[in-house]
Formats: sequence, C-alpha cells, structure tokens
Amino acid sequence: MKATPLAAEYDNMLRCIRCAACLTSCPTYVVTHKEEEGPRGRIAIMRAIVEGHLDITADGITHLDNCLLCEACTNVCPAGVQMEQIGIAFRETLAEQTHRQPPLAARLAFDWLFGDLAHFRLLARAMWLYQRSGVQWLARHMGIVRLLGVRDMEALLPRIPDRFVVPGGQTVGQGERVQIFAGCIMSTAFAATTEATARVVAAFGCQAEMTARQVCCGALQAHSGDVPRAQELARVNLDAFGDGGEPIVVNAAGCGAMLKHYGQLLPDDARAERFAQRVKDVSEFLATRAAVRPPREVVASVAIQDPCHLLHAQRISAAPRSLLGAIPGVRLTEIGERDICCGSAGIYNVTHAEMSSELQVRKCASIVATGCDTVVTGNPGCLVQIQAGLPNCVTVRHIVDLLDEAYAE
Amino acid sequence: MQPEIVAELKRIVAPGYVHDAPSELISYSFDGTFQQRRPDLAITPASTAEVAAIVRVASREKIPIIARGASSGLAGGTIPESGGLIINLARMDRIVEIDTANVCAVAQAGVVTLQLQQAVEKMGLFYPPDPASSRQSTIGGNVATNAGGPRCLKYGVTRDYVIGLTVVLASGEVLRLGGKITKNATGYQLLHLFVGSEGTLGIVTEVIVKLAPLPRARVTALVVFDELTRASQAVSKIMGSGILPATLELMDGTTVNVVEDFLHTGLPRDAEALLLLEQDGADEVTARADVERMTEICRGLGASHMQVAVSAAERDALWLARRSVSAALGRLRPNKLGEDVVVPKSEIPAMIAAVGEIATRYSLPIPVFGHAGDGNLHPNILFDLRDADEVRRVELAARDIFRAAIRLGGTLSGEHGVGTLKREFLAEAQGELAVGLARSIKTVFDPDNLLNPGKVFPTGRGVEGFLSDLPTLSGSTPG
Repeated sequence: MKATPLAAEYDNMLRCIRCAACLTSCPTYVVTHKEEEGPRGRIAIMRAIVEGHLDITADGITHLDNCLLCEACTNVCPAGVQMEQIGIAFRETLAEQTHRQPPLAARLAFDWLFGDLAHFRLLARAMWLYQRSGVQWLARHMGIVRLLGVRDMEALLPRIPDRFVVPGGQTVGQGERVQIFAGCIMSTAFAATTEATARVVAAFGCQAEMTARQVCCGALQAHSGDVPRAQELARVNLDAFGDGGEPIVVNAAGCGAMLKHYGQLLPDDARAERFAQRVKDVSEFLATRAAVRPPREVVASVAIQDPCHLLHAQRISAAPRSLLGAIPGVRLTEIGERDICCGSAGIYNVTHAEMSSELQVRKCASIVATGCDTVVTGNPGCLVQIQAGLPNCVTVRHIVDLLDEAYAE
Repeated sequence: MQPEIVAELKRIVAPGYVHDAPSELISYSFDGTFQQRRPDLAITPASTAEVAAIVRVASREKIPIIARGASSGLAGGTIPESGGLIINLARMDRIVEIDTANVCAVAQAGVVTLQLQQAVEKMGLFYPPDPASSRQSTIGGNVATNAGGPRCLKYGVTRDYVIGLTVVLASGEVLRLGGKITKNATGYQLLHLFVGSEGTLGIVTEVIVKLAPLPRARVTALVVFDELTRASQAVSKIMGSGILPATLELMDGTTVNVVEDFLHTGLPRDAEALLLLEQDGADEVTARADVERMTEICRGLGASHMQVAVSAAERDALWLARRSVSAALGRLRPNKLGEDVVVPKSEIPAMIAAVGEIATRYSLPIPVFGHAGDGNLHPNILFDLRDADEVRRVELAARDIFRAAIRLGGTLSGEHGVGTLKREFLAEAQGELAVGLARSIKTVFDPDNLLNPGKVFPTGRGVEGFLSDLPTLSGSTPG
C-alpha cells in the first residue's frame, strides 16, 4: 500500500459495510441508477485502488469526479464513513500522482484571486462592468457567449451589485461581540445579504464586526484536491479572526462547513480546532438567541431548500425552520426530496453542467409542486442555481434577507 | 467477454448503460456481505423487453446471468462467483399503478421498497413487508429473497403479498403469472416458486402486490431490561398471551450502543437488552390497551424501564435506530457475518443462550438483535477478514449457530435467503430429499445452469472451509 492521502483514508473506507443505505441519498445515483455513480461503488473503487486491485484509469476518475461532495451519504451512513474526507483525499492523490493540474493561467488566477479578498473584489468589479456596460448585452446578442461555449456558465453569473462589503473591522449594533465571516462571493455578488447579516445579528442583541484581513475559506481549493492552498487560506483566517472566544457567524453553508473542518485541515495548529468550535451558521446562531424587537409580519408561502452543506455537512435543519416559523405571516412548506442536492455544489454546475442541470430540473420541479411563492436557502450556490431554474413567480431569497425584512430597524 | 457480444448488448440498452470499464466492474462485484468478485460485464436495462433481449444473448452464448436490484443482500446472492453478466434492475424503478379498487399495486422490480410504501400510504393503503433495508432494497430483491421485516410478525412476509409476477425465463421468454386477483386455485401456482428463488429460476421484472388498509393507530413502546435472558423470556410470554403485536423486536446491549454512536437517540447505553414493541389497529384505545398488557408482562419479568412513544417523531426515531443496527455494527469491526436463523417462538430464550455460549466458545463478539416475536434472530459475528485465524473461528461459530437453530426445530434463514453463505447447510436443514427435488425444479427452468449458478444449492465441497473459500478481492480466490 503506497503512502498517499487516499491510503491514509483506508480505515475510513473499511467502515463501509456495503449495506447500500447511501444509494437513495446520492444525487448522481438517484439520477443514473449506476452503482459506479453511487457512494458505495465509489468507495469500492477507491478501496480497490488502495489495495492495488485497480489502477487509476480515466473511467474511475470520471465516476469519482462526478461526486458532488454533498455529504448526503455521510449523513445517512450507519457505519460512520466520512465520504467528503475520502473524496478530497482522492482528488489530492490524483493531483500528486498524475500532476493533474488546471492550466497555468487558471492556477495563477486561483492563487491570485483567492489569496486576497481585494483581488476577488477586483474580478467581481470587472464582472459588474461586463454586466452594466452593455458588453454583456452585446456578447449575448452577437453570439459570442455561445461561441465561447460558456453560455451556461455565463447565465449562472449573479447580478453583481454596485457596492461590495469590504471587511475592515467595521461594526453594527451593540452587545456581545460577534465576528462575521464575509466570504468571497457573499461579500461581493451577495454584498447586500452580507450587510443584512450584520443588521440581523445586531437585531438579536449583538455587535457584528466585519473582521479585517479575512480571506476565502478554502472550500473550492480543498474540493478540487488542492489541500495545501486550502491550508494556506485557513492559516490567514486563523490570524485574522484571532484566538478569542467570539462566535464566528457565517451566512454561506458551504463556507461554514469548511470553517468547521479547520481542525482536521490543520491538525498541527491547536488554534484551528478552537476556531472551528466558534464557527456558527447564521441560522444556528440566531436560533439560540432572542431578538431585541418582535418581528414584523412578512406574508409569504415559504419552501425551505436545505443546502447540503447545512443539512448534511453541518446537520442543521431545525434552526432555519424555527426562525422562519416565528415570523408572523410566514407559512412554511416542505419540498419533496429535501435531502437531494440542487446540483450547484461549489463549481460543479460549471464543471459538470449536464448532471447539474438534471438535478436543478428535479429540484425545481419539487419546489414548484409545493405551490410556494418564496424559496429560502442559505448558500450562494443554491441561490443562483435554483433561481436560474425556477419560473419568475417564485422568488429565491437568502434566509437572512427574509429575517432582515422581519427584524431590521 | 468477446467484443462482438459486448457490442451486441450495447445495441440493446441506451448508451452508457453497459458497464465494462475497470472501475465499473469493481462496482458490480459485491453485495451487502464481505464477498467480492468482478463480473465480466454489467448492464442496466430499462424494460422487461430489454431484459429479455439481454437474456437471449447470454443464453445463446452460455454466459452466467446474475440479476440484482440494490445488491444490499446479506447472503451473497448477487455475487458473480463464476463471473458472467450482472443485470442491474435498479433503473426499472417505476410504480406502474396503484389500483385502489383492487387494493393492489404494480411495480417494476427496481422500485425501492420504502418508496412503494410511501406512495401507497398517501392513498390510505399499506404494504406491510418492511425489511430493515427498506430505504435501499428493491421490491424485486425482496421477492427474490422472500424478504421479511419487523411487521411480518403480524402481517406476513413478502410471499404473502405477491399476487402477480412478470418473469424473464432463461430462454428469454416472458412469463406472466397471477394477476390482480387474491384467490387462485387454478393449477400449480408457479408464482410461489419464484418468490425466494434468489434469481436461480428466472428474472422477476415486474410485481403485483396486494395491499391492506393503512392502520389508523400505532402505539410504540420501548422496554429496557438489565438481563438479556429476561428479555427473551418476556418475548415468549407475550407471544403466548393471546396478543399478536404488530412488532416485537429485540436489541442486545452491543447493538444499542453502536446505534447510539450513530444517531444519539438517547437509548439507554447501560441496558443489556431492549424490546421495541408496537401494536396497530383501527383505533388508538385498543392498540394502547394491548401495549399496556405487553409492558405489564415485561414489568412482571423485571423490566427496569418502560416508555411509550408520545409522538410520531419519537416513534420514527426509535424505528430509525432499529433499522440502522445491522450496518452500524460496521463501526466495531471491518467485517460481519449477519446470520438470520429462525426458531419456534418458544425456543427464543434457548437460541439466545446458545448464541451466547458459541460466542464464548470461539472468543468472538456476536451481538444479537432481530424479530424475536416471530422467532427470527440476527446474531452478527464481527471479525476482520485479514485475520485468518479469526475467519476460521467465525466459520465454526456460524456452523454451530446453524446447527443450534436446526436442533431447536428451526432453520437457516428467515428472510435473507441462502445465497452462498448457507448453501452447504441446506441438506442439514431441509433433508436430501427436499434438496434433490428442488434441484430437479431448477433443471426444468434453467437446463444450462446459467441463472445465478452456484447459489442456494450445496456445492459439494462440504461444510469445511465454507466461509474461507468464498471469493474476496484480496483473499485466496483471484478476483
């Protein structure tokens, strides 16, 4: 057995007792009914690789890469397999062994882009310019977007707002000090939601601080097998947020799940596990506290779309329901197959457009079947993915935006 | 497999549904046990017509055919022991019809059992057979193994609900049996031969099951015992008291703890045994009265704690815990041998005592749980396949468990089937005469021995080494 990150997960794989309980939770299995596209098959493939019964071949890479890392299987596994760890270890091993790397330009871009939020803001500003200057209109109408083969990707771009959140230690409200993790996408494309997050946290009796010098959480890097770069980002965040006791509140489920994994990501840094313990999803945090003022009425029929990285990775489902249920005028409905991913999954909708689109259609059909007028979720990927697939009569909102309407001064 | 045959099969199904790449063959090499061997090819058809076309090709070329649904079986029934072609029926997952007038449902073989149950329950109907694997197992697999489950104590097993079948025979012909009728005295009922035949007589592609009205009330209670023997005595006493409970499940202390590690339900970790008992019916009062009588019997036998579930959520949590036991045992050791013996109800205490003695004799952890009310127990022998000495002891322990069950008037399997794991003991359980007749039947349906060859029947190699001879990728038999 060669010492690879994948081999290090061998005991984790051996926990798989092959009961198949994961199959019906797995988005790619549910769509294809192929064992090689389900968690149990993927574990068997990786186990055979580690045991030397199987080479890493193109077909195997495809089936393993098709995994969304949505953690639905981990959540239902009675035997305790941790799938995300195995999936990341495979991607890391693959990067090491085959020197499989994205093109140089993309790598430089990745380095430059995520290493500093200021750089990310610059890119977001460029996209803003693209959308507002008429270039987007031109590009779409002259067929350039289609020519470049990026039509799907381009359509998924959220509308970039005029103003970004620049975390520099600014605070909102009075009371217990809370640090806000603003994130790269959430502080730019969803800047209004991140500003609302600070207001809502304040409305629940806290002082919300946009902590300075924070960077991207590293989830995209880790999920693509670039663990060293994810570790670098984690160290910057440990420095930025300090080693105090303040809760760190996150409004993106994907980032929250990653931040809660910092202890595993940096096992040699004692601060990392303490940091992870402080991380709270915004709904998780608010559900344990009382608002300063009673909520205003918000009349809406609301379906809750649980982000995988909230429901499965962080095992949070009651908090958003209790928060929304407390708002007068809100009628909650549940959507069918609530545990199946919407197909966004980080950049999966870009890298695996076809499967992503199948899952999007499936999810949106379940949403429409509820007859709701509003879908509430808690992750930027889900917001964009679902809005793009739904008819205009259904509004997709971040939970914080709805809470802001009910609670903000 | 020859490229021309692969090409011919690829013309039968939609693109992407012939699985011939190295990683794909690994994916169809296992079931819910520790056994593993690669098939020569796997294929995922979408209809009975496609299955028939595939079988015609395989039959012509004398290629072994192994049908599977979710392959969650616990007896080795879907392991391609001698290579061949896996037919994966999971894609045939359409509930064709729920017929409320005739109180039955028509489902393709790949429909997941729980999904069928949920669909009929929405219409006020009830499909009682509920294998613990209902979340993943398919109705076709349930028919193949004659699957049971907790509720079968009161309601009967899969066989009691199958009223119609569509079967692809070894020749590729399509046989339709039964229909939407619940009585049938017209000649031999071949239908029943296929239930529990584990893919050795034909491939079931569509099933008609009869349904029952959904009980309006369900009352569930959890009873804690400090002694396993007391719990097993309580089971016998309840079953002899004139009550027929909807379920009467037993979990020993080890199984309680592994499932707590997974779910954190709040089950008492220091209990030596739990009984999960339930009564259902048309009204809450009668069901509750039965549950109270049962808990009273338990109290008389020294139960230390009793708790009636107050909400549906609490009841669901208890059942999720029970359904998770088998797989949660994977937390303790890398491998397990999940046995499925069944004894007369009155012999439950004797069988549980025998398992305890066998565990001590071979120094192996053998947690016990199961459907104690109907005499069906799941002693699970935990081990590590990499330890040859341990595997040898597991083999002896399994042998002794089988023989203890037979001695008590019971048999090898209540609901998992024989597959590869119990076949060497078939004659001990059924007698040579019965096994001989069954072999003759097999020959009539499958003269070339192509349908799941080697399963169910004794191989002739004998009991010695029956476990260590089974294929694993890393073990003695090349994968």
